[in-house]
Amino acid sequence: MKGFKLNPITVKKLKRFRGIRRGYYSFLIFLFLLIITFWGIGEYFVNSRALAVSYEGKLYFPTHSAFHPGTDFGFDYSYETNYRDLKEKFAEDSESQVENSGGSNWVLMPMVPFNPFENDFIEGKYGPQPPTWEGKHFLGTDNVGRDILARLFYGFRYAMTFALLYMVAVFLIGVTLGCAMGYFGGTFDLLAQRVIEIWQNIPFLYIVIIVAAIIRPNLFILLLIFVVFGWTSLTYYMRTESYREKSRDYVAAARVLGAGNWRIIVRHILPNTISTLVTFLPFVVASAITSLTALDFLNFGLPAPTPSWGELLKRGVQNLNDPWIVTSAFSGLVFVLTIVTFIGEAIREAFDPKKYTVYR
Amino acid sequence: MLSALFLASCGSDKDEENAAERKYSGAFRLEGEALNAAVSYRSEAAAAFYAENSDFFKEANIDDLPAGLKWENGEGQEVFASADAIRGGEETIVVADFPRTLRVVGDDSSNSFRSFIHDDHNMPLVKKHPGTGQHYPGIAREWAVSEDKKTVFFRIDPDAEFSDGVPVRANHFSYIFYFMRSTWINAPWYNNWHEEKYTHLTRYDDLTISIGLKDAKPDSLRFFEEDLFPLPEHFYDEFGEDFLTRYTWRFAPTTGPYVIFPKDIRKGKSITQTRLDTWWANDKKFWRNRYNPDTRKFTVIRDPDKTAEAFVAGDLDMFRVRTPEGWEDKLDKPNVEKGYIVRAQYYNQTPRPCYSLRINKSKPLLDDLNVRLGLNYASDFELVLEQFFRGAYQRMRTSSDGYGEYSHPDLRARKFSVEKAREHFAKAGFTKSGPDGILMNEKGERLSFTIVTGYRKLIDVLGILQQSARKAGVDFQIDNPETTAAWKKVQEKKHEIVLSALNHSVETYPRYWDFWHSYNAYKSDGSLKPETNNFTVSAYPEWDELIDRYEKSTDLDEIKKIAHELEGKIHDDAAFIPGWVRPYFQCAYWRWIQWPEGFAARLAREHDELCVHWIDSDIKKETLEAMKTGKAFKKQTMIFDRYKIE
Repeated sequence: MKGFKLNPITVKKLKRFRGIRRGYYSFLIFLFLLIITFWGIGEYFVNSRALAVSYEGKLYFPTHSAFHPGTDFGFDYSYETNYRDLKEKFAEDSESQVENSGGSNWVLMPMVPFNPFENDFIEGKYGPQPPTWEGKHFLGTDNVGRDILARLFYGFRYAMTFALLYMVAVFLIGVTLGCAMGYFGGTFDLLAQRVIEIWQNIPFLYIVIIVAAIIRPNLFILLLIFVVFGWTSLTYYMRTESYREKSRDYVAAARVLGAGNWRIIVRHILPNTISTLVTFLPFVVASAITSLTALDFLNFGLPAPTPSWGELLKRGVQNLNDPWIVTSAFSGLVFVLTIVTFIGEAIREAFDPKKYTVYR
Repeated sequence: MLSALFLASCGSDKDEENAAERKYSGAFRLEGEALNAAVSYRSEAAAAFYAENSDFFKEANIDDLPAGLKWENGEGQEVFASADAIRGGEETIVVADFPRTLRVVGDDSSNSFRSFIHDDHNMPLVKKHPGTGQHYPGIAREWAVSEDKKTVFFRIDPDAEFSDGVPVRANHFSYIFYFMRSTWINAPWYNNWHEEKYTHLTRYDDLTISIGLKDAKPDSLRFFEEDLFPLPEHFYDEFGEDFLTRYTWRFAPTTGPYVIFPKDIRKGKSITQTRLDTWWANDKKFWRNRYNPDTRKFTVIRDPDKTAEAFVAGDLDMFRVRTPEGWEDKLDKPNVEKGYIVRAQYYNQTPRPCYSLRINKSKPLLDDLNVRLGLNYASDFELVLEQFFRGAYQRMRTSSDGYGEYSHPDLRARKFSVEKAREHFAKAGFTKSGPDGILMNEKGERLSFTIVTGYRKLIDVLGILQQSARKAGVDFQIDNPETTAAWKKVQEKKHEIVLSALNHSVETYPRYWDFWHSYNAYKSDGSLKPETNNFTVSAYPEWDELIDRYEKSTDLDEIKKIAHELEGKIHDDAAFIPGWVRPYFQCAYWRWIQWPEGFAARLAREHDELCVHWIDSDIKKETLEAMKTGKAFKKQTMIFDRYKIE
């Protein structure tokens, strides 16, 4: 979108956003969480594969490489190496002072050495295990020995991927259509409005349930369904905004100067409506997270065993005797929704048109 | 004057109402005129129906009874109730939902409450002995099976009577076939069953009948132990088109020990049953000392988790434990520690629901025996048993465990073994490991299969199988649609592998036709046959031949032989990966509930099925006082492993 320059007022608003400490720091925390859980990056923090292995003088970086069978590191099995066992084995080797290179072998494990799917059972102990520092299960395990923190971590990744993609898609459709409705008006506006009205009355949850019954939903199918039924709400705001901006003098001036529709919309109307749009961002994200969580809670969301917050919450509710599950899931959800709301609040305040409008 | 008249008329209305209420509640004993009327009542519509179907309803003379019948009466079998049992007390029992009717047929009738007014508490002609598997007398005093096993003769116990005092006679059995074949009951299954399974009912006199069966079966008496409960013809004198609504809340006279008075139905809240003091079977050998509580109050608790809480708090007398977590976590409470509540585990020998993986052989790769064998070895049910089921269940052995001598004696499921799995996969051409560790063949096909299940609660089992199968180089994907959708998918054979449990058979021996006969695999045009339970899509002519012979056989020895042979073939075919069985039932009860010495019997499915327990009011008083003072008893966990199979 060449030529899309931020309105100086918008720049000012962004500056003001930085000034609102609570929102700004929430934003930084949120950004940090997004980055560390990001696809490809998260694996360096929470993963069952080692970050680095030095074995017989050779260095390996298994995180993103093809799998290494146990035989690669002196085990007798041909399936994927258990790096936690490997670490213990090396430790034992160096203790027993095996005279060959044994002592120089080492393994560097990620902070949380579990992936969200593996069952780390403890012999003789059943059911969810409470958090332990030595076991490296910092938030305990669920009833089949999966690490809660790992599931929370990757659940966040799925939730955020979902929410952000949803936001982008909904804004793209909503803004385009809303803008067109407001700007062109007339029959198009009228027809589009009716279509939206009808569309909004389709019971969304039933559709999801039906689809989940027929096919095995995955992140993108769910996303598609959410977007297909979620884009409508934004169009109305956008329509009103562009309808109003369209009748402003500067638009008329631009038109007199010979600007085309595209240029008027992109260079004049959009920058002036951005404040309204931006306010919606965090709330769209928050609602996407809660909807996905709710669906997962009701078994209509991501297919098992995908780590998800809704599933974790449900598990927690079913195992109330083991409070660390529900506590983790619940605190995680509350924390994320709170910082998103803080960000939203700050944006709303920073972008409040009443403060900056030139038409006092 | 007027008001007096008004009152008088009101009074007579009341009386009439009472009379009607008494007539249409089987709980009240009829007397005098009313009793005579009830005894002699014969439905005209039913009589017309009998006349119309005279080839089914036959009249004969007592001298027409075939000579040389071997009459049996179940004597010589052990009694399973205790002579120490004390009658009395109130028992509180939970139901998950308030029954929407007291009818036992028609809309809404198959609810969980039904077994308390019908299945386990009404009397059939004969009943299966929970120890021997043979029969003992119910309504029938004696019975005899004809040579061809197609007709069974019964001598009705002259003492047998309904709770309203009407003696049970032959007409109450004829009436079953009129009633159950009627469309007014809106129960096609019952219509069909009573039309298809029986061929005639012959009345020799009021106390002697014979009933014909369509197919000769080795266990002909099975058709009389859970079906054909005598129906009180007089009670159904208003039987008609509006039966479903008219009879919704009428308690039918029962031949069993418990009745429900209209005042004891508190809709939506509770129902109370009252024990008949003068129950006709009170002193019959196999019915004595059973059904001991005087009243049984049913309360509604919808959430199973809450049920456990209510039990531990003392609101319920007994609690059915369904899962290992229930046994350990939910009963990990002070009242158990202090010995107020006792836990009991009883190893029984009944057919088990077969939780297993069934492999669809019509799918690519899965038609290869070596792939299937590999999958057998790659499925780590041992880990599931150890960790998910907390070592409380056993590995299933064959597709039909729990049928006593009809189950194969020494076949075992293949144990998880990475080496053996990889060996078989290699034989099938899967030798290369992909970058994710999943095996591939020369063509680049991955060993990846989707397991479908409709059981949400079993998702974790699949999760464990998935993780451990990766070691053997197999990728399992998990598909968990909503239950009906999953069922449909599997019935249409669109699955690759399914985790399911199919019902065990009602016969004393396993069923094979439904699951293993080619009739249920392919249509005549060679396409897959939907709506059948042959989930493995097995179609082998030699199996068909065996199964056909098995179905027709009336010789139990032959049946056993074929069953073992088939089981061996199923094992070798490796399309059925046995899962787990729960070899016992568990329950917990407050310590004032007392049991016979052996607790239950070999074939008992649940703790309350035989109703042999009783309430000891002294112990109850003692316990309640101890709870007040905080006095503890010894913690008790009773394990009855007399019938445990190692």
